[in-house]
Amino acid sequence: MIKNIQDYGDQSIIIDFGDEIKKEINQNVIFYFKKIKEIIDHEKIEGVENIIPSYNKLVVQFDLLKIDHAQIKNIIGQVKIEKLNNTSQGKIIEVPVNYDLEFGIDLERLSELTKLTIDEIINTHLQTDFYVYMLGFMPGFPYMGDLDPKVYSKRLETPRVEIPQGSVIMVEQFCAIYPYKSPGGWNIIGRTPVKLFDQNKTNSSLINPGDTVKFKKISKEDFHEQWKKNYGL
Amino acid sequence: MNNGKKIMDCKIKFLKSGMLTTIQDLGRKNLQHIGISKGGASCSSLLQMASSLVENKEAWGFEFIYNGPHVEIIEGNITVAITGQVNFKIIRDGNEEIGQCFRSYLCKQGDQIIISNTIDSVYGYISFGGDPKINKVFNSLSCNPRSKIGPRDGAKIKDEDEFIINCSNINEFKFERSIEKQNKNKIRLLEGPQFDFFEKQSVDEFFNTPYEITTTSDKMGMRLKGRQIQNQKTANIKSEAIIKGAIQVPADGQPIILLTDHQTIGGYPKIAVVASADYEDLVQLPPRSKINFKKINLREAKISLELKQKTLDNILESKIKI
Repeated sequence: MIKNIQDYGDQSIIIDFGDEIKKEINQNVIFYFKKIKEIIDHEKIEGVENIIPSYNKLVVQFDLLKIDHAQIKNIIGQVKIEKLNNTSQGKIIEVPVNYDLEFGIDLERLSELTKLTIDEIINTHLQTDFYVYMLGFMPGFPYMGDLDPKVYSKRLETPRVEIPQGSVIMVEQFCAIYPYKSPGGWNIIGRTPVKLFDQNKTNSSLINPGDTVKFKKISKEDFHEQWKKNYGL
Repeated sequence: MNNGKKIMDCKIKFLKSGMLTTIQDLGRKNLQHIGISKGGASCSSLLQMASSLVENKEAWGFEFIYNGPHVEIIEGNITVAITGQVNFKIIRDGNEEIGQCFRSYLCKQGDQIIISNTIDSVYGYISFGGDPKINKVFNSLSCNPRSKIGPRDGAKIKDEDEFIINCSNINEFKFERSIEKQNKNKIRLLEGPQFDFFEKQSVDEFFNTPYEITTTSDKMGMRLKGRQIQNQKTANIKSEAIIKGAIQVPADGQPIILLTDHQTIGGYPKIAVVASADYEDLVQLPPRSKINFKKINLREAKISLELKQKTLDNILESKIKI
């Protein structure tokens, strides 16, 4: 499973699980992410400040004055490779989306580009079980995949200055949701009324690495009703 | 908790906010996997010194850059300390005096601290003795205005902002040990995870020619200008976790050092990582400064970090009552 372990500066190590962006590879990353955390909590090990999964890598960042590279590598060695069981699998989260063209402002362009109808694009999106590879870019922003190659699209040549909060976006095999308004170059296909991130809640991020996201189509009325409930506006 | 001391609420007011002033502590851990980097004070040892001088067990204070804030004590008595290389005045009982960094002052209602600027450096810190009446977010007071994380949605300080601080200490302190000036232009580096993506000659040049800090630098990242670094593999990798001090090289060959409020993941190859012992020296270098790099190994990096911590511990232990 582990291809390589490298020092990453004087207070981190980076573990390589393979070259590709593939669910099978990322599931190993997430497995180690959860197991290392378990060992640290169980043995009350001090000094680890962050464990950060990405597509194919895992970074463990620590305080060198409390723990060193050899001790971190020892923890990694303690992870027992077992079959991925249900406990190491993530949650399944349903996310409601309104795909009306008012929100899905790139759907018409994507339809021309892919030679599919707008409904075919929406249905492909609805039928996909999206696996959450990682979070990043901004708090609560999930990188999810994989879309069917028939709906693949490229980034906009000129990114938009502002994309509204809750926008559901896609590029290549990936789908994501903006937890906050932000500039961005991905294609917008709809909008969710769900709050993805709330810094004042214990479980701040609705979606976490290793989870599965399924989208559900909702009407404009439902969108506004849920938006009002979640954002109070 | 109060050790028999009288605890009272003190109110402070920012008459002027300064250029970019934020509440900071030592940052928040174990959240980078949901998109939040550790953040906190850029120069944590300066914040720790300021906090120690006002007898705060947990380091916290206000971080400012270049032009600092003007603060008035609206109610009560409170101790205050400023650290860094900072020009400031203090008005007590109507008398104006030139302020000294690395000592604390007891201030009373109506007194003012007028911070003009940091000298040949970027960051300065002002700590007040006591616990602030501010709700922590993820167990931390640190604010990141860009990602809106932290108390008050991570917002920077605005003119007229007021804070209530629960204070108990009335003693003034200083350090007996002298504090070395920051701004060392020689910054030590370790090889980065994609070190071998770059041509050998380019790598040698990177370590042996000076790079200039550009004006488009902030607390997220420091953009450098200098000899172009030639990539022999690819300028894009699968996005992976960013750590503080990582030096990424995009397609244009000009390096960017990721700083305290860095993004959590990134897709550019990283040629090097700044040695933790030199990080605070690095971030105190203002734009247009020239940096000379030097490559070291992990053993040297560890020894230098331990030495830096020992130096800080010695300073903190040399604290005496004035």
